[in-house]
Amino acid sequence: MNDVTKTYKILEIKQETPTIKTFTLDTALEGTPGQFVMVWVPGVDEIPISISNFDPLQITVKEVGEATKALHKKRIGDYIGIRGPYGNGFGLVGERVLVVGGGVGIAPLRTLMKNKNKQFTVVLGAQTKSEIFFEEDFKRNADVFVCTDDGSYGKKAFATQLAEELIQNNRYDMVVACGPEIMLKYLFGITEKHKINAQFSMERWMKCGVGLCGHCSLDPTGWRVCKEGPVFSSEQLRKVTEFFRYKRDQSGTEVEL
Amino acid sequence: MLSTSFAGIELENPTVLAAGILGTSAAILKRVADSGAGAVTIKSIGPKKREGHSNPTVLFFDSYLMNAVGLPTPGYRNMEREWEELKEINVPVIASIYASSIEEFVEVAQYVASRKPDAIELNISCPNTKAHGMLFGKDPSIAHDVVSQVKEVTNNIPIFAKLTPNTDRVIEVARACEEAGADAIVAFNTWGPGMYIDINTRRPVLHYRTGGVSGPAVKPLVVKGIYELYEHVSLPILGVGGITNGNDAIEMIMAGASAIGIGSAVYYRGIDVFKRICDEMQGWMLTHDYKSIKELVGVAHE
Ligand SMILES: Cc1cc2nc3c(=O)[nH]c(=O)nc-3n(C[C@H](O)[C@H](O)[C@H](O)COP(=O)(O)OP(=O)(O)OC[C@H]3O[C@@H](n4cnc5c(N)ncnc54)[C@H](O)[C@@H]3O)c2cc1C
Ligand SMILES: Cc1cc2nc3c(=O)[nH]c(=O)nc-3n(C[C@H](O)[C@H](O)[C@H](O)COP(=O)(O)O)c2cc1C
Repeated sequence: MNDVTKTYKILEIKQETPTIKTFTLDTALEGTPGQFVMVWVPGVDEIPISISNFDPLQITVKEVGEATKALHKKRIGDYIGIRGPYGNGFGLVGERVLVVGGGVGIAPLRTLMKNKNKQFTVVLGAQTKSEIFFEEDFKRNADVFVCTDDGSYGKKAFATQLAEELIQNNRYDMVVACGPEIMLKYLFGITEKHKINAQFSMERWMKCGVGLCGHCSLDPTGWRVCKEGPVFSSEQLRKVTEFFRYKRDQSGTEVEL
Repeated sequence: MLSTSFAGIELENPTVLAAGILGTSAAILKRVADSGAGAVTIKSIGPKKREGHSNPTVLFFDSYLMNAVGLPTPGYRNMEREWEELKEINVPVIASIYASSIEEFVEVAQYVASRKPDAIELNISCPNTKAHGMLFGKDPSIAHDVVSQVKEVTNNIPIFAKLTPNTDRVIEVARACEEAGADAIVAFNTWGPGMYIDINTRRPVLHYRTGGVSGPAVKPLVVKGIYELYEHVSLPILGVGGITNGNDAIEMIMAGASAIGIGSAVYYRGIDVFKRICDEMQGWMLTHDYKSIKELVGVAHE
């Protein structure tokens, strides 16, 4: 665990999709799949990003706003700051695991595939063909099903629909997922209906990343997404009434989802 | 053994969650209360919605933290859920407030008083924004006016003045607050500010560039500051800065604090630090045959 912000050289940059890049850094971390780091883009911002590989450290980032745009402009040899790893990560139970990734939410799930004692089925969902990434990496240790909103690749379906079909026709010990909250909302409806334990990686606005400032704490339990999360189990998801309904912005003001 | 009273408020133990740590929602404050804090402070509330500074806002080192969070707030009108749910917290709740003028302090304080917290803490000491905070706490006559005008609109709710250590007029400011009718002194907010530069990128790391210093490294400065305040003001003092264990807490009380604030130690020891510090204090008191925390206040002066 390293909490002092330190900067590391970018060794490699891979354009995964038109909007997503993977950065390989001149350092390695030890940790659990699902954990994240705080990434400092000098002079711009510091943002939470999941670990998409531990050794060497890789992060896989979608360009959505100021900080991620500035990160996408970085070149090999530039320095960015890293502290972490933070959060709890996934805790796999049972043998047969259904993994569901939507959009850039696919990124942290790849690290799960290092576990050779599980039987993984993976659903990768994106809007369109060019936004699917890591497919080959997953295929090395899982049965992979791809879907796109526009049907340009794999099945024309939402990841949630594909996941429900798989759940109806197979037995899984658990479902793990990362993706847009709206996807997780429907997926949680499905796992509850079929009584399967789930673990979802959730996002809230983070400042300190270590559980000190309280900004990412949840109603009504007071759990901090950066510390007790970002991965929450079905049992926990049932208790957090704000999930799928509202969140707090940078000022702490509640905003509807 | 640990129960005490502070500015007329009964506390089950003298540990108080410091402002700006974990205090962003009623839910997390409740969790802190359940983890053993004697009282909790709400993150400083301002007049209107404010995002605060961009990240990095807090930096972590072995013996100190540096922060420039920049007073994010939904604004006092935008916190209905929090105000309602704060009622469910079973320890005293202190509402920290800030503003950028005396008029605004009065406006915020008047509303906050209507939600009936157990005390209102005036943050006249934040080093991390230009228009707020430290400005008010460095000038005795301005500090006096903030306190006296807030007192007029807050219906006997105890008013705490939170001081900055970053002035050579600390004693004068504390006395001015006392004369203006403050019910307690909170000493201190963060120190400096300081700066951390990343040598690879040659840049200050905090987005605001500078940040207030807190945590174990400031403790000797705080102990000395409290020791001096105790000799010059008769108000109860909430000692804040660098307390991470029971011995630190006892030391601060011996210097003159009647209760102690805990902030950075949540990082160093976790959210249950309140209970752990209480257990450690109790252990020390048993060994040294003290029956009440009150017997220890200011004993270093005898
Ligand atoms: C635990 C966690 C893991 C994440 N992992 C990844 C990942 O692997 N890859 C990836 O591309 N994205 C990931 N994200 C999302 C990523 O943090 C945001 O996309 C990024 O912060 C956007 O910053 P921006 O300045 O580019 O955009 P902005 O325009 O500033 O923000 C766009 C949106 O991003 C979110 N955001 C911005 N700042 C923060 C912050 N400090 N904390 C939380 N959310 C913020 C908000 O929802 C905001 O509305 C993760 C988020 C969390 C909480
Ligand atoms: C991340 C952080 C945020 C803070 N925010 C506030 C705040 O909003 N209002 C305030 O009066 N003090 C704030 N402080 C100061 C603390 O309340 C406390 O006075 C200071 O940190 C010294 O105590 P400590 O060493 O136990 O942390 C903050 C401190 C930190 C570390």
